[in-house]
Amino acid sequence: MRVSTTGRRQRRLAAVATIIVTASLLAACQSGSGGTGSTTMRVAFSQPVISLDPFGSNNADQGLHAVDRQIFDTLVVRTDTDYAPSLATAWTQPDATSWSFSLRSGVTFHDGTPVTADDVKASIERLATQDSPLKSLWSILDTVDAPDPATVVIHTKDPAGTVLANLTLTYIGPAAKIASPGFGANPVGSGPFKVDSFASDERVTLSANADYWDTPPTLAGLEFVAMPNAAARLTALKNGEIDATWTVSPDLVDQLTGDPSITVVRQPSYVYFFEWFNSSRPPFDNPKVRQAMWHAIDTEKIAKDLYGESAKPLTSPVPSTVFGSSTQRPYTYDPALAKRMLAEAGYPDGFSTSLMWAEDQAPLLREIAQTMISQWAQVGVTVQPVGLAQATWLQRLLALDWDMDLQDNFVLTGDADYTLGRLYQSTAKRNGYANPELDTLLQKARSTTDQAQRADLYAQASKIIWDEAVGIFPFEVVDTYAVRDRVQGFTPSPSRTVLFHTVTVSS
Amino acid sequence: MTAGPVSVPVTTVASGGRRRVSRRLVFAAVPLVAYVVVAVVGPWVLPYDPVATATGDRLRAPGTLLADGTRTWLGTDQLGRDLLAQVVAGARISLTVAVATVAIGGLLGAAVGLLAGYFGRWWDAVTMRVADIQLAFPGLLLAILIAAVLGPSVRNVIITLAVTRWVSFARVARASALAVRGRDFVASARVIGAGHGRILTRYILPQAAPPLLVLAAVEIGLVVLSEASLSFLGLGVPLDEASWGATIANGRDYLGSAWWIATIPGIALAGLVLSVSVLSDELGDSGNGRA
Repeated sequence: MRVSTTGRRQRRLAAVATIIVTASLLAACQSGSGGTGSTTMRVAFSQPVISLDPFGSNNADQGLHAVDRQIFDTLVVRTDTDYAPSLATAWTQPDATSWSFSLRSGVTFHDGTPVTADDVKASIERLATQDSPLKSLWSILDTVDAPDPATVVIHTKDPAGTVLANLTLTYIGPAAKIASPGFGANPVGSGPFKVDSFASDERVTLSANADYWDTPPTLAGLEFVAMPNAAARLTALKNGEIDATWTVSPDLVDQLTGDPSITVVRQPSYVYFFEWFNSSRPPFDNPKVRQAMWHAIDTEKIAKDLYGESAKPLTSPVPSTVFGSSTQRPYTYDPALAKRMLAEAGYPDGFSTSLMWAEDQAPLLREIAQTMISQWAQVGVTVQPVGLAQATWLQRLLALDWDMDLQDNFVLTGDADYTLGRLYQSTAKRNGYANPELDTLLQKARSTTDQAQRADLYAQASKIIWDEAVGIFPFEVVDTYAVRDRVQGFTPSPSRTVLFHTVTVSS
Repeated sequence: MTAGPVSVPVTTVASGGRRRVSRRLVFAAVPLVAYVVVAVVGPWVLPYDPVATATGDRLRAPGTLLADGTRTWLGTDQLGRDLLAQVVAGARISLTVAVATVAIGGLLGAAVGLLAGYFGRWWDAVTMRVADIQLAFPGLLLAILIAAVLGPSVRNVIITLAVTRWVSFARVARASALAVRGRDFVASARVIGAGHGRILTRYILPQAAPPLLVLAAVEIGLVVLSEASLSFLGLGVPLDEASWGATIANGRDYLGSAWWIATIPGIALAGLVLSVSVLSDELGDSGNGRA
């Protein structure tokens, strides 16, 4: 080994390098933690925010709505039982297929231009014509008129009871800008917050809109940070790196209940789980087989063991928080009955089939699937588990290339038409179930404006779906939000959006 | 992931040190033999049903009493399945996949390498360029690509890993063949009329065998890790088979609460790879005597 003649110089170099590296590591650590200022709030939630374009292909994403609800306004908003004015101050129905809305005066977009009827017209038309998951909501649309800058008239092809529900999801943007290609990265709305910067699937930084027509936000800034890993979000919350997170997986809630600086808020949601049978494929074209499969599943035990307080057993194909839910007769957990029914249907020795789901779509989704598979094995039905990536799952789902499908579902508008009307008609071809009586009920429910009559029609439709076991409907989700104690006024809603303009933080 | 420089076996007479070496070899082999015994016998003694769930007993810590009165020694996972049974069943899967992969990939690679080294010229050039191209891909990435195309099953995992691992064997076999083919005893065999086949099997192969065996031992450890990585990513064995990688993946979201789900199979995996590694070291040291 050569004796180094430059030993002292090398040691000094090493010392300097160590100091530089340590200093930069410390600096990096500092900037990462405890960064929330006195009036800036940082939140992280479970869904990615890929785009902010309310008219693009991501407009059914939970992530998009959580953020866009801060940036944009809609004509009406949904309360627990009814619809309340927002950009529209009042509305009337001149005739069965027309809806006339009076717009609020003095509202401006973030770029200073006033909100006029032309902007509303352009936004509704864009949502109705652009290819997106929400396009079918406005299939009822005939024309939109803007007779004066403060009045919008919506004409539907037939009488439609879902106009107000659809308007809660129709964000209003400037007519001149919504069609430009950069609108998704730099959206302009009239809401309480405006976009400072947006990095897809990484970070959205918002700042307060002091000219907001309603209560302006107390927060100076609001940041949505992407943290896909559930455990990492909880750690960040406990360290104070973020101020709030949702939704918390049922298995991780226990880690929070002991912490005095964190408040856990529970909120029933529009989200529920279902397992569909592909009724166009044997043996699921036989309702007796489907009913037998339901009797073989102990849905209460699954809800209690896996989700605990975060689950509420479903009593209809849509959650109890949704307009149009009802109470159907529950299926008893009875494996012996299931075996008898299968034998009667021609499968005394059971049969083999498969169950598919999208990995990571919802907490414990795979565990729900495996529990159901183990219960079906008890009655002689062998189910092959097929866990897929989200994109592959969606493709196979829409192609009806599956036997059974397990997923969660979000009734975005809070109205049963969004789920029952959209997914269970024979023309939708979503699960292979075709029943003309059901189709008639769902179409009538969509095209009547008498809400009481709609509720009754949905109850009748639900009875068919439930009794025919088009799917198994185990439970609806009670969301868990975790908030640091310096946050006040944090009020979540069943649609998993929080209105941050009424939230305050103390330093 | 190729083996380091391999020394061509030299005929020596081990004197005095031989007894010391073989005792160390035995010590190095004991943990591996234990794993093999557990893999073979374990699932009979402690059967594991990957389909059955017991959600009432989920996430129980090691040593707690379960609802049916039995005690769980290593804890239960988020579906109430016993960790001890999973680790034992996973041992069988891991070792089966490892042995099958090394056997298939090793035989294939050794055959290609021997022929390349012996015949040389265009056959050598072609096969070694193919090997180089394959080595340009990161090994795990290539495995993920193939596994994603084939789908999860034990058979497909073996195929995937055999395809990614034959190159090391080919290289070692080729080096041995190159070193030996010019030797006098090979030339004299050719002079007396021995054909290619006879020379390969009777003269070249015995020289190539010891480094290939050492490499096989090393590769078993690497294949176990690769299989665990694929199963961790969901591309390895399917959900209705146990695998250490899959169990570790199950425990990923519970590291702060039910830490035993990921830790215990991780310890088992580390132990197996370590014992194989030590054994291959010992084999290498003592492999200087030729058959």
